[in-house]
Formats: sequence, structure tokens, C-alpha cells
Amino acid sequence: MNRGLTEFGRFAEPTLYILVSLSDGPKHGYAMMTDVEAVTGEPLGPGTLYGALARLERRGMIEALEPENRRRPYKLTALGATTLRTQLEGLAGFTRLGLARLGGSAG
Amino acid sequence: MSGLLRLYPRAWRARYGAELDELVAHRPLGISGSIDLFRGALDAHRHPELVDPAAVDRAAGLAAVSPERYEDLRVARRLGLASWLGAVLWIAGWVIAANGPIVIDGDGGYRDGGAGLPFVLLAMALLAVGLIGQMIRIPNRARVARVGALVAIVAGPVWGLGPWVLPLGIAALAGIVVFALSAWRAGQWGVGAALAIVGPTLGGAAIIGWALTAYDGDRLSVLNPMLLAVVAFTPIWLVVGATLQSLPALAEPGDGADGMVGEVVSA
Repeated sequence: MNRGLTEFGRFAEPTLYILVSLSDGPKHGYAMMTDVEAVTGEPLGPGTLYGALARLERRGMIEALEPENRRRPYKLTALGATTLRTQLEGLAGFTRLGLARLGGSAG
Repeated sequence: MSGLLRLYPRAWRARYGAELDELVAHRPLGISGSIDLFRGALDAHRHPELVDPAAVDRAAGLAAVSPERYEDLRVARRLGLASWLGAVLWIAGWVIAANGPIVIDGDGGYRDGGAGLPFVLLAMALLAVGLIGQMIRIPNRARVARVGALVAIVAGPVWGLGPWVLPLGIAALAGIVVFALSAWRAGQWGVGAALAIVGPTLGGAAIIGWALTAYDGDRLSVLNPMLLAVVAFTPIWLVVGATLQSLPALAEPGDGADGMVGEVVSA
């Protein structure tokens, strides 16, 4: 069942970033951190990153792969992909609505 | 490992510690990163359920056990909580005793610490309760550890009845030291837990020995070093309680757990 990301509280936004980061293939922690920073322009702290990873892993949205040296890559699961899609579609709808209203009021 | 990573729970470090350490090694934390890691450690303590139980078991060096054994270990864990309460009473008792009225007799003055004695007695009794929890937890093969715990269980509360009877205190402390070292030798305790008891215990005993020599006959001045020794002994209650808190996984039917007291698979 897709319960969304709101249950993650202050980790909701970082978990969304992580899911987006993993959507094009497995990554380890450092790669996710740099990817998120490149996309959002904001650094993702290590404590926040692993707090979010633990929550996503516990909920079955990501899966840990075999470690490569001391780096362990993670991949998106089917549940994680579904959740991400739902979240992004929700955000897209919200964005369209907001832009439409903004356009209406500006015009 | 970064000092901040040590703030994370043991189970969390077992699961994510190496990855976090690797990440931190490649990216200096800075102030904001350090604060973020600190907040992450607090969050990890608040949400231990986030770590896979299998990782918790590995961190505690425990293998799955039978339902009966699991229930025994839950009882032992509760007894560990009693040991923690004993630490509070131990300190409280001595603080009360050290602030008792000064009594002048033919040999000079001394503090009448009688009001603190019930606390000290109860603290020793609660330490004995914690050690009974240890007896439940440690395997029968760790005979020396069991003997050490038994000595402390008997001598400790008796000493609490009359803390001025030093041989009883020495017996209790010796039993605890023997227990801690033997539990470590038997693979039941980590070296950190054993040292956290042995070091302060020997240090506290040395302080008492020195104070009794240096302040021979001065029953008022000797109180200060005695209180220092009292504080030094406090980790005994804390470590005895803490080492009872981790629980192994409950064995699934058919996975071969036999309920033996040998869950520890690594030190």
C-alpha cells in the first residue's frame, strides 16, 4: 500500500530527493549526497541522509545491495518507484494548479 | 570512526556505521554537517525500530533464541532497570550520609550518616538484583563469572548493612571485578563494558585505601576522598544494567534454536 512520504515527518523531503536520486539507478550514500546537492542546490547532511535511508529501507521503498568496499549501494524497489511516481504526479498536479491560478490572476 | 558516529546506537553503527564513516571520510563535516550528524544520532536513539532487527542481533553478538529463553532475557532486562535505579540510590545515599549532622565524641568529630544508610542498602540490593539478571543471562559454562556474581550478590547487600565493615565491601567489589573480567573472557561482555567496571572499581578502591592511610583518624576530612570513590563505583550499577538491555531475535520455528544460554556468537 502506498502511504506516501508524509509519514516521514521532517524526513519527507530528503526521502523524496533520495528516491529521485535512485530513480536512474543504484547509488551509494556519497553519490546520493552529491546528486541531491547538484539537483537541489542544498547540501544533504549525513545524519539526515542516513535517517532518511533507514526509513526508506524499513518501509521497503529502497533495497540495500552488496557493499562495494565500505560503500553500500541502494536501489529503488517497485514500491519505492510507485511511491515516487505518485508523489511526483501529485506535485505536478499541484504545480499545474498553482501556475494556472497564477496565470489567471496575472492576466 | 568519527567521534560523532559513536553517539549513534550500537545497532545503528553495526548497520550503517561503515557507510557513514566512509561518507564522512570523503566529505569533511564542517559545523552544519556535525550538527546534522548529532541530530541524526538523537533521531536514531528515538527510533531504534528503524534498524533491521537482524542487524541489532549482530551488533549485540546474539543469535536467535527460543521463546522460553527470550522470556528469560526479558526478565533479565527488567532486572537491569533495577540496577540503574540502584545507581541513583547509591549516589543519593552517600550524599545524604555526607551531609549528616556532625557528632563530637571522645575521638573527635564525625558525620552521622545514618540517614543515608537505607539508600545505600537498597542500592546494594538493587545491584544484586541486576547481578541476578546477569546470572540469568550468562551461560552456565561461564562458571568463574557466575561465582564472582554470586559473591557480589551475597556480600554486597550485607555490606550495605554496615558500609564501615571494609572486608565485606572488598569481597563485593572483588566479586564484581571477577565477574566483569570473566564475562568478557567468556565472550559475554565486550572489553569496553568489562573495563568500564574494572577501571573505576580499582580506582575507587585505591582512593579509599589511600584516604584511610592519609587521613588516619580524621573522620571528617576523609569524607571527601570517600565521596570521590563512591562516584567512581557508580558505573558498576550502570554497566550491569546496560549489558542486560539488548535482546536477541526470537527464533522462528524450525531454525534450530534450542534455548541454550549460548546466544553470544561474537564478543
